[in-house]
Amino acid sequence: MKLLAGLAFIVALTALAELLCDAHVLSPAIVAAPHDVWAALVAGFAGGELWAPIRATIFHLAVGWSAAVLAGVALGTLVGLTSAGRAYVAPTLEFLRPLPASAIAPVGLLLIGRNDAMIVAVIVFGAIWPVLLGAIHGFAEVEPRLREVSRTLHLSRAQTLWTISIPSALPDIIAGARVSIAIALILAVVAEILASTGGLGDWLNLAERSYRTPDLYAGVLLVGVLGVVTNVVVQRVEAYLLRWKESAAWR
Amino acid sequence: MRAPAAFLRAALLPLAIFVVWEAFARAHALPDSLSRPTTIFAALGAELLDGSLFAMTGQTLVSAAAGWAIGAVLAIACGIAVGTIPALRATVGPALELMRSVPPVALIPIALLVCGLGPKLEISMVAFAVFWPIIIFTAAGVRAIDPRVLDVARVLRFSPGARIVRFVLPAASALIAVGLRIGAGIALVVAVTTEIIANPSGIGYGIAFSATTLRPDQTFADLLALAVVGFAINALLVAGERRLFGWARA
Repeated sequence: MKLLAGLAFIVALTALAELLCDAHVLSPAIVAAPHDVWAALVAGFAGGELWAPIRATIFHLAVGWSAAVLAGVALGTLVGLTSAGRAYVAPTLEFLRPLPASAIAPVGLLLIGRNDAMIVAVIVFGAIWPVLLGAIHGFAEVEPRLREVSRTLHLSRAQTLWTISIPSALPDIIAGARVSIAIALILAVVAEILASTGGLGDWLNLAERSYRTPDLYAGVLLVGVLGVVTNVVVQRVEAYLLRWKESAAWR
Repeated sequence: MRAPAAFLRAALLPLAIFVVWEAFARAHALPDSLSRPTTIFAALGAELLDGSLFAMTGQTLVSAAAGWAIGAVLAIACGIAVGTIPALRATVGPALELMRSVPPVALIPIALLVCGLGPKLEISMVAFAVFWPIIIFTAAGVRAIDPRVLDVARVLRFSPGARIVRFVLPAASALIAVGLRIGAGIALVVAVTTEIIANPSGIGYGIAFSATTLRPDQTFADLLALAVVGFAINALLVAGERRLFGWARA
């Protein structure tokens, strides 16, 4: 019933947009009528022009995001587990974090040029922060009583890391990874617009410049779908990896 | 750890990076597009002295602040409506969730068609982007209010407007403040991104323009300035929220 009301509202909005477009209240150069967007999607998928940008964006996202997560966890572990790291490295990272990540895209263009490597590098730079800071925080804030337990049990450093530090830091790291996939998608679009070497960002930019408004709206819709799908997938993975957490009384 | 010692420790890594960077650049071991710290700081000094850095930063901050304020007013109004009326929440909720998942940057090309180049483009992009976190936190704040508070307000015959101003807003203010703070961070990011991709003004355009005209010293100088601005805004917002709403954390 609730879902029905929500769906009805979305259908009503679409119908309203269709009516306004057909009555020429909204300019077709600015707002594409829903049936034109649908036609653009069908034509793009049937003719194959849309597959290449979708594949390119998914490729950029996958490579950039996984590199960001790996690098973030590795660096975050080093910084979070050592007091030297916390004293000497963490402040610089805290300083760089609020820097709008898209500002690094022109630097990527300057240093690397217009290619996939630049797009991936921009994604890595921007998407690493939530994971990195999550890992630092997670490793630095291990419950003190658990540290005492590990000392009492004479656990080795490796055993402590594996049985106490990693499970304790995992929720922070995974929460960071979830935030960073959203950032990665944003940066993929920005970098693709600047690089203009393919991807949905490039598709949007070209469609806008040549006033192919239905193609532009179709592209925005696809980016939105990609956002929803990646978010759902990462949420599922998070729920699976943290399934033990519910029963852990100390958290 | 005493404060000056902590500060020195914090400054050690950036200093080391600058020294190594400078040394390698002087030995011609780095590409020219990486510039070098002394040239970058000279460019930063020049931009500070001729006032262009302040002008650029000012343009960006004004657009970001205007968009943030517009988005915040709309989002708080909608958030209160969605938070207090369950039927409305059920109806528009899924549509809002769908709209929220579109990354704002993907809408820059559409906004460009609608607004053309100029402050309107940047302000509307910022307003759109900050709308989502603020409406979510406002609605959550309103829903978290103890229903008995609103019952009392109703029994005391306050008008709906007075109930919102005197009961709902204060009770939800701590969570609204969180939304406003997150929104302010997003506002700067979206303003800079819009400038880099489309709008020829502000520090984002400064970074993009100097990069495409092969002035890496200016690019890095502007980037450094932007990092300082971002850091300062973030620190101010966190401090402000803690000061105003520290009571709500307990």
